[in-house]
Amino acid sequence: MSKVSISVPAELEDMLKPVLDRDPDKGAEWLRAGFEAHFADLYQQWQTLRISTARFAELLGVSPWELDDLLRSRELKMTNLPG
Amino acid sequence: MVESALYVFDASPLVAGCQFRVAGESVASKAIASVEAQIPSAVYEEVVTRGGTRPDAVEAARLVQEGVIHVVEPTPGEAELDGLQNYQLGQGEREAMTLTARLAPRAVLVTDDFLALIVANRLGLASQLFLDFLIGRARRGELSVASVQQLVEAVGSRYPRGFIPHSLALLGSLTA
Repeated sequence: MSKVSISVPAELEDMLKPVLDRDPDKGAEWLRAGFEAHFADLYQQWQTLRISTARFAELLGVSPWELDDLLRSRELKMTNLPG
Repeated sequence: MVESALYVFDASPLVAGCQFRVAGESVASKAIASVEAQIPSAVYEEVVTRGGTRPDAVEAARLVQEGVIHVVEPTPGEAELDGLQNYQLGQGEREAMTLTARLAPRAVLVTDDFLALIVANRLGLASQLFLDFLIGRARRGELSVASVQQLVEAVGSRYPRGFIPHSLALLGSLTA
């Protein structure tokens, strides 16, 4: 899978650092939660035709194949066609 | 003499066509055989380069290497098709539409993206879904109705309810 980059505001990073120092596994949990929120937001934009399929993949930072895998694994629609 | 159509693909029909197989051969391979199929370099980047070694991407690469699909570089200095800047399309889709416009009126854009279909229609570009590309091949007698029925059924899980029964009915009407 391609690297996915989700920016974190500097002030938020300062707040999160002590927690991550205590519990490094939290980072992966938060990263996953952030990715899922980002994915859900883009999926909504895709289904309402604000972005196309290739743009969806670009904004998520994945290839079209990986986008396909992500949609299938979540049992979501595989296209933005109506119905 | 009327020149036959050529088809410009964006990534979406290749993703659909390369991951499903019929009788040991990919849907894309059977569907695109003997037509003039082109992709812009951005679609090559999306599908082949970024696909790496996964089997469906390797299948797409094979179709390019064997000359079934031709990769077309942008013409130096060629501006992107005017109007595309208003929409949130991917690079491959934008290049595919620009290439379709350059090759008009022969070229038909093949895409499974609904936004791309709408934009292509607004720009006056010929465009169709991958399913309709398949049906067209049967309608022109380039592929048998039975073989296209198999291809449609093979990719059926990707499409919303209604598209596959309708496609099969259209194919059925060709033999009636």
